Amino acid sequence: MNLEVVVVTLIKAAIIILGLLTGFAYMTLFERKVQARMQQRPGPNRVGPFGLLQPLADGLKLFFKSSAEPAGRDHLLYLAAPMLSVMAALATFAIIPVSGPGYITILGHNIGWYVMNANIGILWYFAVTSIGVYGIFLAGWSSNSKYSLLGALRSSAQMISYEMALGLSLVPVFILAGSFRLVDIVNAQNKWWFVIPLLPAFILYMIAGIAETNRAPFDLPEAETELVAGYHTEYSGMRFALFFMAEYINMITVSSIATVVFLGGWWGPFGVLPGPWWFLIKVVVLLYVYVWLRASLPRMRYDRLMQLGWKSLLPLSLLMMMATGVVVVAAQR
Amino acid sequence: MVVAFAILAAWELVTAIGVMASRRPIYNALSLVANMLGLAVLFLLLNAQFLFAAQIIVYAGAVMVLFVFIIALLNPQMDITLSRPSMEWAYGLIFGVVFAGLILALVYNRDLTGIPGPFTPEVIDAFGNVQILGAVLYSRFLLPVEVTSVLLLVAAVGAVYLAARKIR
Repeated sequence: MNLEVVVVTLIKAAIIILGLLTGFAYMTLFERKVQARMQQRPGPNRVGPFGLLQPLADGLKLFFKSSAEPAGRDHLLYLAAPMLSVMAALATFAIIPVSGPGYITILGHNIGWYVMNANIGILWYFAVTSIGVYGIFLAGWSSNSKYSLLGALRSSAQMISYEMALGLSLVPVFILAGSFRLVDIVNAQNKWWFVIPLLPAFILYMIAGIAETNRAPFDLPEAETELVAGYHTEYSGMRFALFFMAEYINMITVSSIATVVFLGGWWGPFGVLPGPWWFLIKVVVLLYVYVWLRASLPRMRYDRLMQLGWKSLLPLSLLMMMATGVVVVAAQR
Repeated sequence: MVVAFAILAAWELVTAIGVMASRRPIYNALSLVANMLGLAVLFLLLNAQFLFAAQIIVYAGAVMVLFVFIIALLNPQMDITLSRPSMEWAYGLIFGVVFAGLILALVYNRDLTGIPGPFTPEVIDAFGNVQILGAVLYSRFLLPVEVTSVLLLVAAVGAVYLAARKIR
């Protein structure tokens, strides 16, 4: 562990965090614009050209708002919960290789296109998101409000349930690539993207990923009509913005992992564009799917949601895992 | 490395005391979560990355979430006041001293460096931590793994049976 590694990692982490925060800001604008078009409205278009400065205006507004706090809250946990959520959301991105397969050489140093090329790879994502559940749960519990508590219970139960399907739907990829390391997984897709042989797993992953990030049509934790705003009902100002930030960054991360694991990461069909651009295009397309689903599907009922998770997605991803194993072993014989 | 270990050891002690000392159950449970996270980082210092992930996913992420759920749902009052039997401290003192004595005896009598096995850091780096662990688990330790999985299956079936009987 020498100094160079530490400095380079810190710089890369800072770049990734800045990128994710900008991505979050423009994701909100992207979502509002696309949704508006789907509903025959112009969407935000007053602040700056095409409304491009809208996220900045929203950020400033939230920053200068006073933060109202509920009576009878658990002060320490109430403050810690939004920080925990954002921290977990930002930390998950560390394993994602934005481009590759080689290095960029800056001032004679070979620098990889990732913050961390961990041996455990994708398991890091699952470990950190399981800590993120505490952020949401503690937010709901510490607010001392029944809407918050119910929202938090729903949310964390949903996240824990769908994490199983999410993890198992990725196992076929590990079988084909023979590694947890995301760089190895992308390199294995040099010729064929894994989405072609593993289309069912990709669909399972996307459904579970949308549920995992608590987005429509699985946004039960924030069902406005029954729970006000779910676990962050009692949060306002910048602290509310932190939860918002965590949710959008989680969407970006789920899309990035889908890109890396199923859609060939930095590989493009004809090699026309450099790697990072292919990565970005694929992530934006998947984020568009998120917005599309939100604009077109009604919210599910909670018991149906749990049944979908445990009785459909989980067995299907187990089946997919076994089928892939059988095919791979049969092909080796 | 030594500095990192010292910080971690201090963290583990503080959170372990937190598990017992706090008067509010949710803080006890959260201290235990913090303690498990520290343990996971200890695994990481020992180059056991897979154990790091498994420790967090299974214990901090799944088991303790259920604890926190139960505490949050069943704990309307802020403080639990237990009538404290005076003998409790005496028992604690006796077992504490005996346990500390055992550890001291071990530390002074044994060479704690251990014996190097076939899986040196070089071998692990060549094949990958997860790959080696998987290969060993499913070849040399196949029987224990299978027996444990049957045990867990029995527990799961039992839980489903109990839950179903209650509904009927």
